[in-house]
Amino acid sequence: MKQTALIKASALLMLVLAFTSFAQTQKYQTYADESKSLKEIKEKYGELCKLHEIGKSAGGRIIYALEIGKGDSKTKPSLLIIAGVEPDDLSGTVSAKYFAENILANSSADSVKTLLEKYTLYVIPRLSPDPLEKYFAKVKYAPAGNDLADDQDRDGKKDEDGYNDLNNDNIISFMRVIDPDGEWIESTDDQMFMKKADKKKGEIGKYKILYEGIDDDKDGLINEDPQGGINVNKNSTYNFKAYTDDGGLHPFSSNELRALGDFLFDRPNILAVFTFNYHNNILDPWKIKPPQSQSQMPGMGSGAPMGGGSMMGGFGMGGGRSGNMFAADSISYSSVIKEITSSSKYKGDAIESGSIAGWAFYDAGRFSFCAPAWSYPELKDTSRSRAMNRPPAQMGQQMPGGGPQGGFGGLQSASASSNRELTAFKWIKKNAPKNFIEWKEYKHTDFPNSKVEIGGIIPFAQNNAPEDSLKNSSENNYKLLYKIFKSLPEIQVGDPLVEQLGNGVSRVTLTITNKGKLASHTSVGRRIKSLQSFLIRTALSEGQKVVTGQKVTFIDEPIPGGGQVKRTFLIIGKGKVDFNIGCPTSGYKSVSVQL
Amino acid sequence: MKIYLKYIFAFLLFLPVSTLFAQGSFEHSSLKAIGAPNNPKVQVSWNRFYDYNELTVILKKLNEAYPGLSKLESVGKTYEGREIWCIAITNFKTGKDSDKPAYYIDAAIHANEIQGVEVALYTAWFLLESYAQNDFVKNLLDSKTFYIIPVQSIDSREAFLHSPQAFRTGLVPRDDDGDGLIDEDGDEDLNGDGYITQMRIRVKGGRWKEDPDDKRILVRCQTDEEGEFELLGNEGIDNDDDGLLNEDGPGSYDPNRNWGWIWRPNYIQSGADRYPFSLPETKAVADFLLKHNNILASESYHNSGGMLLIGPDQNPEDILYQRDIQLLNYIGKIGEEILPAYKYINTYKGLYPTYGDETNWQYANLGILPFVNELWSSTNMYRKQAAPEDSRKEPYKFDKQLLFNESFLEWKEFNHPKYGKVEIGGFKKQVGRIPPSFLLEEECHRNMAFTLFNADQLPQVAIEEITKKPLGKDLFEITVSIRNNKPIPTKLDVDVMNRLSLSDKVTIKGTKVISGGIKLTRYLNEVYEQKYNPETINISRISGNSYVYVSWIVKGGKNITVEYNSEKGGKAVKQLK
Repeated sequence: MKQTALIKASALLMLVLAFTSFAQTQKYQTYADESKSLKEIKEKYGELCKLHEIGKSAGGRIIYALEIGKGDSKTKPSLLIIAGVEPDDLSGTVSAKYFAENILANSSADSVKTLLEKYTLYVIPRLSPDPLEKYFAKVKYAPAGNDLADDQDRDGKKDEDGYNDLNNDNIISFMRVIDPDGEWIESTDDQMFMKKADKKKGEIGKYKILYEGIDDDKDGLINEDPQGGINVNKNSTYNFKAYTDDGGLHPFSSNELRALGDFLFDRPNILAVFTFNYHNNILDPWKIKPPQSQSQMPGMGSGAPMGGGSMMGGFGMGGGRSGNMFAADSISYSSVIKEITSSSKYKGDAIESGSIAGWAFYDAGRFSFCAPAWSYPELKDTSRSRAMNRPPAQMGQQMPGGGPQGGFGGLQSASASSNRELTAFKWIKKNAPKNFIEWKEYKHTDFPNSKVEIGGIIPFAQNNAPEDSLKNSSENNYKLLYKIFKSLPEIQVGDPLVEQLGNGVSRVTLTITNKGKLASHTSVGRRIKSLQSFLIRTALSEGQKVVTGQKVTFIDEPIPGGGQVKRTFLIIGKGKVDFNIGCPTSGYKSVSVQL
Repeated sequence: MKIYLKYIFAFLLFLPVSTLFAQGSFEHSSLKAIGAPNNPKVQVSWNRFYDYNELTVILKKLNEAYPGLSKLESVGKTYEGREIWCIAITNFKTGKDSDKPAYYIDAAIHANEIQGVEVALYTAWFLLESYAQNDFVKNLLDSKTFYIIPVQSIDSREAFLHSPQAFRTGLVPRDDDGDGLIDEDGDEDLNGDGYITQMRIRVKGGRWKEDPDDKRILVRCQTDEEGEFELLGNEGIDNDDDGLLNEDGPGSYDPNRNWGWIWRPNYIQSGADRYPFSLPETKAVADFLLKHNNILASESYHNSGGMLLIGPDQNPEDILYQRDIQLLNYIGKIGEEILPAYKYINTYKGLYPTYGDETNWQYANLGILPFVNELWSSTNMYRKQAAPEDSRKEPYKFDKQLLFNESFLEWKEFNHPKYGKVEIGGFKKQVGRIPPSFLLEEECHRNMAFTLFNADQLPQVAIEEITKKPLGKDLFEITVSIRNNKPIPTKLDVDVMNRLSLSDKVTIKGTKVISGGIKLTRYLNEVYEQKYNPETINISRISGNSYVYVSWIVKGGKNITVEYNSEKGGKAVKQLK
């Protein structure tokens, strides 16, 4: 009974805090403005707060990380929040910064104070700042990735044929061109909405769709080499897809990912990572299973045990172990998901190949949570949408190319069953009609004989909250992130049990409990060697000797939330024995016995 | 007078000898032994190993002696701050290094695979010193470029050469056992003999016993036999008192699993480290490769086993395309002749799957035709494969007969702080994977010969013929036939299929172009027209030993030239006379 009352009280407190401190209106900021405000935050909360420069984007913009906590941050269990990951997701960066600001603003409240003493919080509000700046560009367009110049049409020149604002509305939208070879038709639901003709239903395509532009380099292709760059959320090692336009030549080819990788691996105290992206693994939990074959990516096969792999070091956790190596992590992860699922409000899409959230668990060994910062309330479907790649120009063939695959900006995705775009379209038409440009004819010089119309949903509008809903979505995300932050592990050591066995031999039994919800560490993190093992270090006095047990005891199996382990030591001799217990992801506790 | 003459005679006798001491070499007045260059400018012995300082001197001397044929640069720094040298070798008078098809060689990505460095250095030395004397080498350097990075993992190779250590990894600090301490418990040379060998302990009933014929050899006991030894592992103590011996030495990642093609984390591929190119050395070399698009084939030196390895390294990610495989087969088979006892093997099928290795990345992301050489085969000891029952004893026999007991350290007692009385002994690290001095030069020359053969298969493109057919009204049809004389195409299949590099370009100058395109065969008039920018016709590539035909319809023009330009296939120009 006491517990439920406590829970209710803290929930109420959270709500109160949520509403009292959120005085400022939320809006989308340029990189310069946001950087300035991060520095202001650091100035204001100097003792609690550090600001790190963790690297630079392709365009030379500094990537910032806020560190919030007290004392020696690297010995405390930590949560890392990452935003600015999808090329057009500004809502995530707002929510991430919002969380940081309000934790700091509430840092004198008891509940938050305790959290900041036990744990450290890291926030990277804008991992890939380059594409987000296009929101504020004079001519707004939907960015594909960072500022890396590339040669997408392999003509030896970089970024030489990009978009053009033909109708001078400062927005790059779409052109639909009447063409018997076209694949698109108007939707029967709404004439303004475009979808691909379904041949099975006998529909015949009527339009070709391209991004607004002309053939700048007179090579027969339109917009085949716009400013592209790398989409950092496709550039991780998790299920990386090679030979794409925007995934990068190889995983971690972007400086943004390298900065993130070094930042995370240099902090073995970070146990949990939350990423703002378009995938929601809280409402659609992952099935964490080991790979079926050695080369297959984990999470895709059925639970066959994995053999092989060689042992590194003398430690008995080489690859020969059978059974599901993710089992402990999977259980921990599921139990926390159950607790936080009610606070996750925004459905998402299928996980991206090369996604950062996938990497954070499978290739960096941390509990990884992810969700969009905002989504349409009516959205039911979570099938894959939004594909911004243009079809590659055929070698030696001329094609009026440079068009999107769909799932974006008022175009239905390739997946016939998806209703995400139509939902978005209807919502925007009703609630933010300025974000939709009605199709209007344009006399296009490259198409003298075809009717061309310009229109569509404006860039950024499909995936970002309208500014006046930012406050609401940020508040919702605050509650979710707070729950995750609170679920980090906490080590408690009971009074050691000392039994005298005679002849100066004592048996000391330690009982170690994890009071938190997440496990003390992850088994996948141990296998990757990105996390340390849970250790008991024994310091003896002069003349004492450990008979059974070691001076350094490894507890390699994670201690689950609410779980308990016991360890016994037989010690000869009198004097004080100090035990230091824990690891960076669980925190440390010390106990002593006087023998 | 007589005494005078005596002194003069003596002086004359000693003159050549004193010249010898002054120069440090003999004058090559006697018959040249065929193989090595005659009277090289840079004197190098090829029966020994060179450390970082020494090989830096060799490279600098070679570059100074042949400034028109070589360029020396550092591609980056190792973790401990040493320069990763690359020597580019070509005849700069015939064109820039970047304008020619290039062959890339590197060695010692694994620190204990030391002899590849000497092979790479030998190759650089041989090419430069032989240019003026040997037509084959001259033609090679006039038309091709060699990029040679003799050592990748310099820091840990230095440790191999100058300390008792013998590890394969690098020196970037990593916590291998997860105790928060970094590199705190490695091997130690306990008995101070300069080597880290094995420890054994006398235990009644142990699973090992001494061979009755040769007490050095330990033999595993049969199920019912009672032995007297247990093996304890490498020489060392439990430095951090955690019950584990030597579990966290320096590094312990594998630099050859840190590359960007099908990289997998540690639980699938041990040693992969944090993420692709997280190590400074692999990143520096990768950046170099990315900047030099003209590299079309390569060789990486490892040891041991006597193998010429090709990918793919994992199944079912079969990335190798059919015609690329055929090329590798052709080159690999000849490699087996040049390198007797070496076997041409596919890594996955012949050995074990590996992920994130260098040569697969070179192939899949850069369109390079790669080989890995595992140097040194035990067959080299007696020029034949030992019978299975003899193979264990062969190194001991070789030590006795050819090395006069120098390579094996006799088992000697030692008082171990934890184990008590143990015995330390075993083979020195210079045997097993590394040739003895008298076989090192042979390794160098034969492996170099394989790479020169391989480089000689790189494309050789020439514009053979330009014809001009009048069409009336000052219009002409210009047809050009371009041939690649060598088996390797100007781009591999993997490159064409995945658009890794630019298309080859054929440009006509000195005239007004009306239309142009690719002529599909020599005989028929079928032209595949390129509608846009016909002055430069794009062709996907020129296959091995094949022609490509391009034709234009032009107006006028007196001085017509045709240029061929390829990222990896080199350049060619011809004027219409």
